[in-house]
Amino acid sequence: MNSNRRHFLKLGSLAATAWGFPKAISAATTPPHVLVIGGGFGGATVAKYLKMWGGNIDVTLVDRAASHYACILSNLVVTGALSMDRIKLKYDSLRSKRGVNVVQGEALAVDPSAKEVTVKVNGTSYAYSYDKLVLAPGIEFIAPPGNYNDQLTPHAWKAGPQTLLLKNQLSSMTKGQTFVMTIPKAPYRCPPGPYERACSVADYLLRKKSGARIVVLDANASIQAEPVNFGNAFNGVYKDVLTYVPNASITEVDSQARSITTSAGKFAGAVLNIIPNQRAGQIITTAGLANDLTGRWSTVDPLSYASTAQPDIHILGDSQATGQPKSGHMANSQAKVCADAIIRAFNGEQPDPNPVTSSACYSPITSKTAAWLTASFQYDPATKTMKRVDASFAEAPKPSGDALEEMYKWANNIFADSFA
Amino acid sequence: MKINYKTLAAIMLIVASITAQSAPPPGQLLASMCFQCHGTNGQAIKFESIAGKSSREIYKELLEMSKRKKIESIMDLQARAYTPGQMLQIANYLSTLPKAPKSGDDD
Repeated sequence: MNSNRRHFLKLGSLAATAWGFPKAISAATTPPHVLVIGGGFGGATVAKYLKMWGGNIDVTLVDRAASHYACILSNLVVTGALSMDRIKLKYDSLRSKRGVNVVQGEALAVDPSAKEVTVKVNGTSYAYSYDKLVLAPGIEFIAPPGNYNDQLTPHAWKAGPQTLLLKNQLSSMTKGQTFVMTIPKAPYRCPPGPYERACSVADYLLRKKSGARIVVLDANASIQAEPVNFGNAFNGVYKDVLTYVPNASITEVDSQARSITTSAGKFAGAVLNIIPNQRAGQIITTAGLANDLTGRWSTVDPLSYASTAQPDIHILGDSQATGQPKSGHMANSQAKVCADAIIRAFNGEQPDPNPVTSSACYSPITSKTAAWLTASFQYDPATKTMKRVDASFAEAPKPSGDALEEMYKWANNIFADSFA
Repeated sequence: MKINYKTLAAIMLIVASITAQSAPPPGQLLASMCFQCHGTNGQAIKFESIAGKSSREIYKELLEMSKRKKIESIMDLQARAYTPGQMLQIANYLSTLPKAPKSGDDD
């Protein structure tokens, strides 16, 4: 049996009962197997670094899609500044250069006692066995009340077809129309992202659709990231086209009519871009691992990202509840800590006791400038949490053309460090 | 079957690689936090490549950036994340990595 076939079995009565035997006798000689569910920035990075640092480890990466579309830079696809190809990240390098077994399929269920995951591939269910399981499924949306339909009122908060849908709706707007968007209650994926989108859309409307406006309905009390740069843009360069409304929680959505009722009033527009509230990816909830106080995210040990409920299941990226920001850059950081800890565990060692994680990102403010935001976290043994190093946390002093150039370099490097 | 030294050495190497993977080198995990921008193993696309620089040089730069009063770049903040001891581990590890074939440095 080659290494790709060794770790899974088609689900069926005969096959399933026969499985225990070869697994037991092969245990002494086969390399350990890490199964990774979710091929975004977290999942791709952990798969790559397990192979790069771990040597003799089999790694299988499962994702629903044949390739990943990055949320990073995706607001510029919405405005037509970039093409979908610019944010398309293939798994080819992970396969050929790193030796990761990449499978297009959907994880349906986790059985922690059998250490198996049911994965549906081309309509057939298979049981994938694991020694360590990494769940990096990103986010799931909590549908707002009403007749919410993401095909009529797209979120475009998972890049892909949704990005194109919103792009087409935006470009179809005529002069004088209104673009309404909502910002979810924190915590959500990419804290600066919604404000970046507001700026990118406002810039587009100013340049292409005279008289058109954008209304930004924020479920939070204030701007959640880069308040100075986004606040200055909202009140400065965009003051004639952008209305920012804080404390606007959704009470009713009518996707058909593209209208929305919130705690701050009723709004309607030619485009209604609803970014709903969020929770951990579906497989986390299905597996009963959404065990934080809100019941939406997973509590983990930040030294290894092992679930507090299941020590052989690691959860990283947007789905975890450590309080670190939910971003691609941060998922990449956590994935390296997780890969290092898993390799150490296979060698009978404890995780590194002093990990550091970082998040950095660039946001376009206008079509000629960008700003940035960065924060790093050190492990605090007293509270067993990742604590923000406050001296490392700040936004750019002001937007600049240099930062816009750096944004593309940052994107290229993080794309490659995660997927190549 | 006769086993000569060469075969034995080869077998031992294989056995060693399976059973006794050594602990990750010090500084490897910390230094990998640089790779999102400075490229996997410090070989960047257009940003500054940091692989294979002298340990002393990297340490000195990190320390300087962390103490810079007027913050100008992301690195002035990122450097503040680390203790001097961690900076030294990062610098030592990066100095052991092979230099990028062609520097894309324009920073």
